[in-house]
Amino acid sequence: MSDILVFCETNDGKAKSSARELLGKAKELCDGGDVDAVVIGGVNAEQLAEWGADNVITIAGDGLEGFNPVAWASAVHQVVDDRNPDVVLASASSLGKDLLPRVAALAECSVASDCTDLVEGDDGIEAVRPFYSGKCFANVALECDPKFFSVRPNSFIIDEIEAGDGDVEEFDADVDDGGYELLSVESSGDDKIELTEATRIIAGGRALKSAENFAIFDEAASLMGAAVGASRAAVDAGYTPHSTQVGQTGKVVNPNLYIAAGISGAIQHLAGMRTSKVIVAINKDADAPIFQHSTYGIVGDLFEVMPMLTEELREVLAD
Amino acid sequence: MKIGVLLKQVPDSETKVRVNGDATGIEEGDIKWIVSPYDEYAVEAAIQLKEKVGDSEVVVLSMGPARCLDAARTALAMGADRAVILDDDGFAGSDTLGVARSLAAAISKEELDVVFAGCQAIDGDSGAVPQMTAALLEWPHATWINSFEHEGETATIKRNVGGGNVEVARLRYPALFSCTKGLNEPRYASLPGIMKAKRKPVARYSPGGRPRAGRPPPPPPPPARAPPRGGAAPTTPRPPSATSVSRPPGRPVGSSRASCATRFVSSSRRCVKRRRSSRARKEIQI
Repeated sequence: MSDILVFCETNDGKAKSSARELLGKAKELCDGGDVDAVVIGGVNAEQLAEWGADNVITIAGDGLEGFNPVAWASAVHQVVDDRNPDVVLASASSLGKDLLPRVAALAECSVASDCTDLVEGDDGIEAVRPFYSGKCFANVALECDPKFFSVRPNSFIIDEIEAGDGDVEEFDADVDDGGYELLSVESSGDDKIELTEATRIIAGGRALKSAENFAIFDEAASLMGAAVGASRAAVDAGYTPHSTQVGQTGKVVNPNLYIAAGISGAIQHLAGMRTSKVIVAINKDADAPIFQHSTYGIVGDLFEVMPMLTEELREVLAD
Repeated sequence: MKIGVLLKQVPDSETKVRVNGDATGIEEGDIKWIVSPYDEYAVEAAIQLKEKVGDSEVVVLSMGPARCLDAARTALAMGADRAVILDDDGFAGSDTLGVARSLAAAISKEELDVVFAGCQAIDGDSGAVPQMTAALLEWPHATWINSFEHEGETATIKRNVGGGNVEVARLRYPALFSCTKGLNEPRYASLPGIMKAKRKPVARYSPGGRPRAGRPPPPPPPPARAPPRGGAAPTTPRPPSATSVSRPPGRPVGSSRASCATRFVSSSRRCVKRRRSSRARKEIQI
């Protein structure tokens, strides 16, 4: 039996969908233990209850309004100290990967980051996580209490979840700014989908030939609700910013659908997307290594294939 | 100003990874070792800060076996002033907390004001050690920074947080920053730089803080910069092998909570067959 505390991220007071995945998995693994959601600020607790939270702990306190890693980690650590769970989970999002290690260190515990699976081991819950950008995997057992795991988004398929009670408890945290002051959050304006959380991705490589040509993905991406990624070659050529780079020195992604257009499939790129569930490769070169890793391959010029694909998507998704 | 860089030596990103026989790590035979690419941005940021404020020193801290001196020399050739290698076998196989403890202790000992690290090393891909080190030092941290502006006792940074959003934050020194692509263009080592690097000082610390034979002893540990959290920690007798270097002041030794370890139970999927029977345990030795 494991009591599991799940750190849930929110957006405008609504729990993010990553919380569903984590709570659902926690419910599977808890074996009768409590599954508690912890959030900073207000949240739609009914939603978290529906997703399996037995208790919803909302942390309030001065200095927690915007993300401050010092204050947030201290606040979450105070809840961990208070509840004494066996396991603490967070999403391996940019927020979760920043926050959870600091919470773990405050609890004098180690952390396993970016786990792709959680399993019942001999001595409590263990994780499977990639090393060398997914070139190999290891089972990792943490011999500490509690055990901290951040979980790569889209790692679990959660069908049905037994709802929890969702009792809301407010927790007053005592934090200071710790020398960190969030000045502003600048938005690029358009509501882009975060690559690491995307369920569908279209990525382009050197074959795009220019920054302008990346627009060829725009319509298909918006039709499918996909994020746009890129290979290192395209980023180094200046076609698209580094925040879109998928690969060993970029983002590691795990979508249900990954369309690689004009990407040859260098080992460093594969390292960033090989866990994608369905991989579609579009490349002129029939010998490109990407085809050995793709579920479906189209040998052809992406400038011919993408418009056709977009046209099909328009028809199919119009209904 | 004393500026630190956390540096890790990792297998080249071209490496074909093969898991070793007892599934405790990878075959290291013919691997080409490099400075973890993100750490190069950290080295460059440290050198640029030194160039800006003047009268400063850039200290490279690297933990690993003897070969990691090569990576440190690369940073020295780029322009760092000296290196500290935490290279005793006792550090081998440390988990993220063990690494962070050792680095935090070395940072305290070196009395650093600002520390840069890569956002993650490309072998373990945890991206956890910088934040954990900052937590143990009770310093603020900022991860994945792609812009850094020094302003006296503070720095203003920018970081991409996904979804097209950029956070702008100001951190008061001492502080720790984890760096990502876009922060700067790491310089190449010049030939004179490479020649000079051979003569730059390298200190080696072992977990017990014991100087290595034939090396000058490290300076005595300074008092902790920040008071330990929660006041005085319970005093527990120290085992003979553990003294100041690997543990921040104020932390009990030998408490059950200090025994965190990551166990490589087996490797799985794609690379190797599961080998559950041959489990090997890695413990932190601090």
